[in-house]
Amino acid sequence: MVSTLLILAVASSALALAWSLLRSGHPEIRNGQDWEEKKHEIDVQIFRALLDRDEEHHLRSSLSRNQFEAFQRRRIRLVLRMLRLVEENAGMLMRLGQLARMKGDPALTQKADELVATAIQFRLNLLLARLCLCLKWLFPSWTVFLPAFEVRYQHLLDSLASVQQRGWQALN
Amino acid sequence: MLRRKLVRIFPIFFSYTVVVLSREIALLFLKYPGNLYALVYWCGEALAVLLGLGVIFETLRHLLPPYPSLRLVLKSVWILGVIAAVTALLMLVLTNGGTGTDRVFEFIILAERSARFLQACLLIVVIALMSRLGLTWHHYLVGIVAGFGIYSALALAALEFRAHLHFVSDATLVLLNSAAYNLAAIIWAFYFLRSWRRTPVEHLPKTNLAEWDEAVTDYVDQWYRRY
Repeated sequence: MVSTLLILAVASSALALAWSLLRSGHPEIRNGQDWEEKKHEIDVQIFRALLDRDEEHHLRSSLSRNQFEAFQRRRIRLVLRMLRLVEENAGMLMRLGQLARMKGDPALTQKADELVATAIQFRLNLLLARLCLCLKWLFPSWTVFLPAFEVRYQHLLDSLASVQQRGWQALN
Repeated sequence: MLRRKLVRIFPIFFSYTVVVLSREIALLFLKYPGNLYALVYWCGEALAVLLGLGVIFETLRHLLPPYPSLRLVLKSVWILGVIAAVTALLMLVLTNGGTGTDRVFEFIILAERSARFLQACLLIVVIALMSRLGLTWHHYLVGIVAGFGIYSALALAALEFRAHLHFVSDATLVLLNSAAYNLAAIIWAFYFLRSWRRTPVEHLPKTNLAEWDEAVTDYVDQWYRRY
């Protein structure tokens, strides 16, 4: 019975996801002009200010608990909205990168690959950041700890890569 | 695919379609029921399932650029794939399916169900990745993955209804399987026949995406440092 439920759940999830993939729509980007028209201008410094720990401590000490929680939730909602818009920007840039690769110019292709990789990396980090923000929205006063295994693992991979690189340099 | 020179880009998917098509054509000329018919059918089915799994990894290879920072994603897919494979194997071992008249046939159906389960799990991960990371501009990949997703899901459900629950007959299973494959073939045909012609872009705009990535990473790291 458990296996039946598991199989039917997997089958219906796969079906629903495949269907949503077929129906997914996004703004059409054909050239740089489209990007200029459709991009969202958002200042990263505002994002940093909204999530600044010192600012949070200051608000916590100067407001009542209820006021602080309400204010913090508003800030987090704003941050989430900003992230959604930047995510759209990243999506448009990825499509532009793909169009740039079609040119066949090696230098442009390299730049496009880097842009796409940054966009993917950004979207990956967004998954984790959104999770943190949602927790923060649920418990604004609570200092939540998250086991950020991905970050640790990433740091480990980066160190391994640098050690390997140094090893190669030493050999050469 | 040949006309658009996509064979070299998607060799496993091309092999898959050739194998399935060749098997169906060969079966038309063979006597049913017969040993040769069964041999061609089941060998073709096993090969198709293996190639179907290969297509998923081929899709992943095209989906993510070869950057070290993205190795984590590929590793996660491998880990999830191994978990799904172990679950599939456990289902095969633990399910008591030998109640029918032909035990070998029942076992084959259950083995296929396990393979389809693994395929569906991997497709869920790939589709979720494509949607979450916004990789839907790979039009051919969207077509391949969506077609496979729908086919695997329907085939898996049909196999469960036949192999474990015994809700449907063998004839219905064959019909359902064919209908699911035809639906997938329509999706593939639509995506491969449609013209996706685009004008190349001459230069890329200056962006602050790296700065945004850094800001988001710094925010996540705040949590990491406090852990």
